[in-house]
Amino acid sequence: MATTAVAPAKATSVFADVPEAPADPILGLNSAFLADEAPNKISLGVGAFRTDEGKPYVLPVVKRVEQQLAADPATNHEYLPIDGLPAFQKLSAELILGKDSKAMKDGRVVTIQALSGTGALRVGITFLGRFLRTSGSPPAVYIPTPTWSNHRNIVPDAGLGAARTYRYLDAVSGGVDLPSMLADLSDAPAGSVIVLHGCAHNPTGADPSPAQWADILAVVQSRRLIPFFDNAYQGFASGDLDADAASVRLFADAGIDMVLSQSFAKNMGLYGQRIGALSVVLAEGTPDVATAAKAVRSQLKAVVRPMYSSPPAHGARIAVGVLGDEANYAEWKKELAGMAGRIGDMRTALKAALDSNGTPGDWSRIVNQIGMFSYTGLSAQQVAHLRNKHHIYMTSNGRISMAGLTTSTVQRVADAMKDAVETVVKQDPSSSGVKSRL
Amino acid sequence: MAALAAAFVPPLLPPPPPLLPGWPGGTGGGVVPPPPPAHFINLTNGVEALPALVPAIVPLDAVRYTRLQSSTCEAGDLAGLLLHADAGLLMHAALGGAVYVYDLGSRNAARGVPRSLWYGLPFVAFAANYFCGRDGSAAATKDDDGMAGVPPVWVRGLNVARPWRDACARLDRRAKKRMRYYRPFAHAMGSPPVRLYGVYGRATRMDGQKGACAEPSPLAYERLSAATWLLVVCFAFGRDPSPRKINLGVGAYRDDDGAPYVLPSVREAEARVTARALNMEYLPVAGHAGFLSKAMDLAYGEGAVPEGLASVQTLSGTGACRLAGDLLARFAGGDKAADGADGRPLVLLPNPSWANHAAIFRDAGCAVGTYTYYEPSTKSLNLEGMLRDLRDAPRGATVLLHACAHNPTGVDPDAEAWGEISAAVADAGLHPLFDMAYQGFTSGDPAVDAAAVRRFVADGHAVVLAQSFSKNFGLYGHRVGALSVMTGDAAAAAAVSSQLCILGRPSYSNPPLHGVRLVDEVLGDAALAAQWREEVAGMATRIAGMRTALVAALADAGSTADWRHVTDQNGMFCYSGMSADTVARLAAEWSVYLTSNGRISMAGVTSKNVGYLAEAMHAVTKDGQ
Repeated sequence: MATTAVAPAKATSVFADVPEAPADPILGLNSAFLADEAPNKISLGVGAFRTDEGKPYVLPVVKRVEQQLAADPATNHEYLPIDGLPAFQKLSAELILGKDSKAMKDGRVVTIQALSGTGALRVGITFLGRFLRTSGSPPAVYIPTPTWSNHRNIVPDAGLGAARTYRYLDAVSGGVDLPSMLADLSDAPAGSVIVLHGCAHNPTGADPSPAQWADILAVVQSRRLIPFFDNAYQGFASGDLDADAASVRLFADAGIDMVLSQSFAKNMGLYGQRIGALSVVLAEGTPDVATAAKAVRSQLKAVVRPMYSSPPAHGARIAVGVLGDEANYAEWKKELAGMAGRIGDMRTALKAALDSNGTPGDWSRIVNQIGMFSYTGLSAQQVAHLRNKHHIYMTSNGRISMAGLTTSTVQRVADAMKDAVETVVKQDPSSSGVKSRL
Repeated sequence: MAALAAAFVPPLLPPPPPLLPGWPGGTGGGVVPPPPPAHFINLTNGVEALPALVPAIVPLDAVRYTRLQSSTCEAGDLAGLLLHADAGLLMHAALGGAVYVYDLGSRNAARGVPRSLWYGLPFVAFAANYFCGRDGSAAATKDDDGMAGVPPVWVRGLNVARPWRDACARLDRRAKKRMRYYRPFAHAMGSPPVRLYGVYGRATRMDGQKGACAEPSPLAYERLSAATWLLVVCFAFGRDPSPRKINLGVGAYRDDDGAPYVLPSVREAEARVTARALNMEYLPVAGHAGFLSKAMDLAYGEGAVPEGLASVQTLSGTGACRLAGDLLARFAGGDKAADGADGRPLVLLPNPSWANHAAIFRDAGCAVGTYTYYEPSTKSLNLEGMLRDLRDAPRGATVLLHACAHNPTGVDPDAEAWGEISAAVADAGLHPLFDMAYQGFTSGDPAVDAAAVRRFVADGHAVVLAQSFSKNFGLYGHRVGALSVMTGDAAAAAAVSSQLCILGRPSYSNPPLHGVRLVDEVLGDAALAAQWREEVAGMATRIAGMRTALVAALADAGSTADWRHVTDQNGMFCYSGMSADTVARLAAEWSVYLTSNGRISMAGVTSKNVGYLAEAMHAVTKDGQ
């Protein structure tokens, strides 16, 4: 027996009265789906690609690179530098900005490896909060309504207070409400940070056209705003890496200060490996760019070191194996086009099925929207009806993950949507949580 | 005058390291030997060295001059350094001649080394190697930024190889052209290593007085003769041509050949996991359930995992500590906070502690204090001071304890001391937070290394535990760790888990997959787990063996100093007690590199280099350091 002289009374945890946090709506959806015993249940909630058989997908090129890494006796598990694998930093910046990026040639781009898009946003916004001083206080951060739900959490946790919002979606057309967006951006204080989705806006799938991006850039420049592009779907949206980076490159060509987050979760299917990048692009007129870039990098590292010391190696090595090898890169581009093609096919098929079964309403938004998601405009009540009667699961804002559809399920989903639209009369567009000016 | 100078000449000029075979002048039998050493005064404050140099070491007409300005260094103007460096200096270096640069200027008397020498000259040496050296061919064409195999270059404990290489690649055309000019000369000589040495004494009150070159005052002589002249090594570890160089600065395990080590059990797990071609879907925010349950068994003991434990996967030990700090900041601040902490929860760290701890808890929004831990005079634990500080700490504060292998000192409490610490923590109403970065790696037995944690659990504490799998599984770059919080009951555990997820979601969404699969595979297979236990014991045994061997070798080398602390300390590091100046001499005279706090990474010591290391340590400490 141990010879403890006195056994002290049980100490009370400092966390004994911590309240339980509300369940994450997306995770709650998944639990409900798993608990549903219906054999024909369908989940349209997940944010990951699925094959036409509804299976998770590891890209063949990724699988091959991983096997090569595992078989290579020279592969070790040593720490990466605080700012990540250098080769990855460069390849990642080139991917989003283009191989002939002027900003990169000028040495105006500081890129670090990050924990996918979330990690890049968190480190980037923390950095902006520390060093972007426009009027003596941390900058306001604007996010679109609606937006990826985590944007709203990242801003206050990075110490910048509640995020402000700008209007984005036209609930009636399912497209971008550009006049409202520009009006809200024009009202933002100079030096505010504006979070923009580079392509495949999550959750709406509604992207500005090239002409609209030019209008947004004009307001950003005249109001001296700092754009923070969240790029979670490059290549996955249109199937073309350059087309999906056009918005970012348009802004980069303007030579302004900007920040970029990149995720390789969707376009390389590296979800769980947590691989992404954060780039700070310094304005073209920055005096002594080399010194400024060095200082920025040192401060990004100062944010990272007390958060997680250094980023995970595995995903970065795979990404370098894909991006840094000509043959692998070419193969990846084909596979990307294949994934985007399947999503596009599902959009076309769902629209056609809704048209042919006579579902009331104009469903052209489904083919006009882009990326993983479609914002159907279905109300929360209609979503509940789909779930309760048809065992079809989607988030209550009516967002469908197009990757969850397959050739064999699209007709059943369309028929169930018809039933929901006809049975549950929509009260008001705002019931879906989306504000419309109309 | 000459006599005074002669008094400190011997330490002033240690012989340049021998040339490697194959270089002209080396044992490979080159035709043209490199030129003899050249002596450069760094203007302005280096002029104070003139009376010491002339004529004892070099005639006045052979003294040369250069300007590596500290202001240029401070501005980080690397191109400026290269543009101002004396042409004679660069040419001499390119031809393989040793170059000594003298400076006495430093406005920072505490650190001693002038910036021109610890920053400016190393960069010039780096750039000369980059543009003119053997590896200069890549630089001359196009920077591929591959970085693989680029040896580290240490400046003030930071590896600057990468930023400096980037800086060289991005230099403006003028600076690049100037540096490349010397390349053909270097090639003609067989690309000898660049050998630049800084020589300095302590800052004097003569600083900035240009008249010191002509009229050296008695004060200057006094300072010069009393000063320990030191050499700054400008081609730190990676550039050091000495075949006997030793790097004792790394914080990762090395095998007896000094090579990175992938545990065979981990390699086997990786082969199995890869062969299964698993998907790469997101993990839950809380992490991999199988890994977590095995990690808890490992820490608390199988069948002994406390009830009401909330646990989540984290980004290794750093991520676990940060998440604990975030949780404290959110739920243990405000009116629960200790007095004087501005409503922030107070976290007490040992003095000293791992350098990152303070930043982690500060960034999380906690107030950070310290408690007495290490006693430099005895190189051991100051238990009395520690207990006093814990008993005096504000109630409700969190006290961070290193579960085993205290970093950086390697000094751990023994079982009896842990009992007293546990009682003090309970009496003072403190909350224990254990950082366990070396379980199994310390003693070779994971259960032994977890004894302090398990003791605190048995004593009734509500333990918070940060675990890292970096060292014991060698999974450094995969960021594998866990945080567990004893809450009392299942409902409270669910609440804390939910809040940990709320904190993790806007930070990284969900933790990385690859590393936890490997740990899950190793610990989930009885045979593989047994193999891992042997391998982790093997690492611990090798390190313990090196401690014993080092002490024996020091005795063999003739050292009469007390080195018992080397074997008394635990884990990866040995807090040798050597001063920063002694560490600098080790680097300069013996090509042995460690961090300036005298911390030796025992993992860098091998059966092949331990004798040489002991010889070096004895040589620099025998005069009473």
